[in-house]
Amino acid sequence: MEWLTDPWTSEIMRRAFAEAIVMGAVAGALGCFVLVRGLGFLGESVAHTLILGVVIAFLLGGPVALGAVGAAAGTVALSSLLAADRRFSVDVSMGVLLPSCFGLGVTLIALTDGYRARLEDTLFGAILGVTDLDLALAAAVALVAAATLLLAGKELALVSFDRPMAQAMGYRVGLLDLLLFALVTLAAVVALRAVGNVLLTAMLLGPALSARLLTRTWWPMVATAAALGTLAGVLGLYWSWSSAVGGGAAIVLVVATMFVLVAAGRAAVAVTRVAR
Amino acid sequence: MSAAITVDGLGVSFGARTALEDVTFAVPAGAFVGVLGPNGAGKTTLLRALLGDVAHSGRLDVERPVAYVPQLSHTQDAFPIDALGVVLMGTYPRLGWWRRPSRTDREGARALLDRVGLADRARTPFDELSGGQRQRVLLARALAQQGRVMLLDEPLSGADARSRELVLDVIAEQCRRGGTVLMTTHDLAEAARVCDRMLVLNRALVAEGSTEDIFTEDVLRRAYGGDVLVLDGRPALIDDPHHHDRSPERLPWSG
Amino acid sequence: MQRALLAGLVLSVPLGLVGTWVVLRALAFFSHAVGVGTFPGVVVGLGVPAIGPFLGAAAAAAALTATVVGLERDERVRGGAVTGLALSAAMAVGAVLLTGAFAVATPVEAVLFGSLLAITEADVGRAVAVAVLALVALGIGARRLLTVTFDRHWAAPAGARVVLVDLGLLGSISATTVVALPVVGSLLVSGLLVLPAATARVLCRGAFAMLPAACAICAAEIGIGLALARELDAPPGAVICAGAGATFAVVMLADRLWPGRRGSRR
Repeated sequence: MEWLTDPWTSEIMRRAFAEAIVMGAVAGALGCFVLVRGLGFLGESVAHTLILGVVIAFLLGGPVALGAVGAAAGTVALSSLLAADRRFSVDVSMGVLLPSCFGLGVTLIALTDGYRARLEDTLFGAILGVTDLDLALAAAVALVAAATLLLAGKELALVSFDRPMAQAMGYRVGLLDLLLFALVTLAAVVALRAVGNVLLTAMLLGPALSARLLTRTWWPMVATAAALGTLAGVLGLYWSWSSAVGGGAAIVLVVATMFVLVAAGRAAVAVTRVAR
Repeated sequence: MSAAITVDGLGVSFGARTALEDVTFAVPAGAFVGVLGPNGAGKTTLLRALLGDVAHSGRLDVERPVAYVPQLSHTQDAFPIDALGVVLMGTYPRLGWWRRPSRTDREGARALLDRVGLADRARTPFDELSGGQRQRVLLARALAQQGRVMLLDEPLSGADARSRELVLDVIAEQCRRGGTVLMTTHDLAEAARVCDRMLVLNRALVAEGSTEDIFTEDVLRRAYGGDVLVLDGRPALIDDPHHHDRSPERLPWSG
Repeated sequence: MQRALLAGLVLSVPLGLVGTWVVLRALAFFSHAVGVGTFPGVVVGLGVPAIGPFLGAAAAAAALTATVVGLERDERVRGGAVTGLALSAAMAVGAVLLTGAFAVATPVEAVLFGSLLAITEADVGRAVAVAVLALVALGIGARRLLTVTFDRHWAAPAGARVVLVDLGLLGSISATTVVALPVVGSLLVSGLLVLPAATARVLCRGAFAMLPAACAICAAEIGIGLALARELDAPPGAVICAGAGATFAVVMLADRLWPGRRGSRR
């Protein structure tokens, strides 16, 4: 049974586990909204533009978290502006923003001594380097997310499924959308530390996709996604501990494998049902 | 004179759902036929089958090429192309992949735009045109296809008065020249006014014939279910629900 | 450096031609996924000399295309979600592979963001081949692409063979992506498909006019970007895309301030 308890003896791993558990739950749950609203590309774009905000904050000597939030807000604002132009679909708006901001961010990093060496960490995350500050941030985000879902969960779900209805019922759909974007951004900022820019989307979409295939109604789906996210985080770290694989990559691969298993399982069930 | 369109036992299914069932009819050349029926009755599916765009059972005989005016809502929004460009598309099937539209083709396209009253709009971007104008451009494109048979899917819905007039005018001219036109619509009054014959669909063929044959309580009930009112002993149809207009339509002769 | 410039300029042809349709058909996310998806393939190819990075990238691109096309048919999982998961997973696979022998063989920064110096003659040759193929294929298929994009419902019965057109375009995206990798890298190659064409969209009135415009803009952006990358000693893919983004922003701003052309905006 030692393999089970071994990692927990290391303080670094304990922190990593804490981060993975919190991040997995938050990203999993909020990822359901991303999935339902078809915001996969927005999530991916935010993940990449965050790097620009972080670099600028770093260069100006300001708090990194602020840079991240600023970048996310900027992405949402600019993409909305662009998508309002009839010539550009939402897809192309993201396709313009992502490489522009990411390219600029990476250029700035390349020009900054010391940062360039850590490029891989930024891209793939460094969950084993998680500090107490990171954990505190993650916990805070989790609390905010939980509170918001408790208080406004029904309204957020409604505006995601049936916007005209929500509007007709008098809800301020614009405000609710903003709230949702803010939450997803917070989740992204937390996941950034754990898995990095390029793997972020998997944490948002993977558990939600698997949950979608396993459940039939909304709140069970959100709960399942949170559970799967947490499970993936823990399993991934176990894998990372016992091999040379990086933490972030391991977690993401577990997430992807889960989806493949669930999808294959469903297909098998469907086939046997037809055969009968 | 052999029929321009012959359909025998036509059936179309999408997976478990039957869209059309055992439809049989024939349309002579020079006829203007209205295809009626509630939403989901299979009107568009019938057109697609005639175009050869869906798998079907039964026999289908129609002279190709078939000119087609699809529903306006299907075109991509904000696509960079002008009205002339859209009409020229109608020449593409004839051209083959190695030839470009010639000057004759371009002049022909301009003439067609003139025919639908949009000569001065040749260079206007398609999405700057009004709904009715766009419908007319799609009609000009169909004319450029030079088919003896023309199919139109809801060409009059949402169009302004002038556009409707022009579209019907072009259709009438086609029929005079021996062409055959099939038009789906949910506007019964208009269909009664302009079409020679009508087909009423509700997955199966409910009725076929002239206006008098169709506008009976029995036929309308079988096609539209409960949306039939009887006023003064004559049946009237409540307008399609998706039109938000719930005033019952008066039939042309009900006074 | 010379080779990078030569390859880059040649690449502007397929990038501009294919990119025009990427923008008009809203395939930017898909293109991004293909680009990113080549990463694990390149890592494997570099670690196993018998395969080589080109074949590795090509196989990965094909695999990702097949996965996305196959899985996106299921209506329960929609909105590009599967694409998003697939691309992230591909990156993770690549990251996982970066251990042991693979780690040594892979210059990570160059694979992700391109390189000025590591361009071989074979790379240039492949770029030329794809450029020629793109000219021929998109030249022949231009009208079909036009009708299928504008009005699928009319194009299909008119004889456009929609399935072939769609597959042809997806294949073109993959082919162009794979040959552009050495110069701009996997994370930003999609930017070169989207940005020049998006800029052309603002400047041109007709779809066919966008084709040469996108190529010209792409060539200029690559040329200037490569020169700048050498000056700054920064990865070429990043510098080119940053410049392309700035160009797009300037053109959009000019379009807002001087809407002289009658273009449809609102």
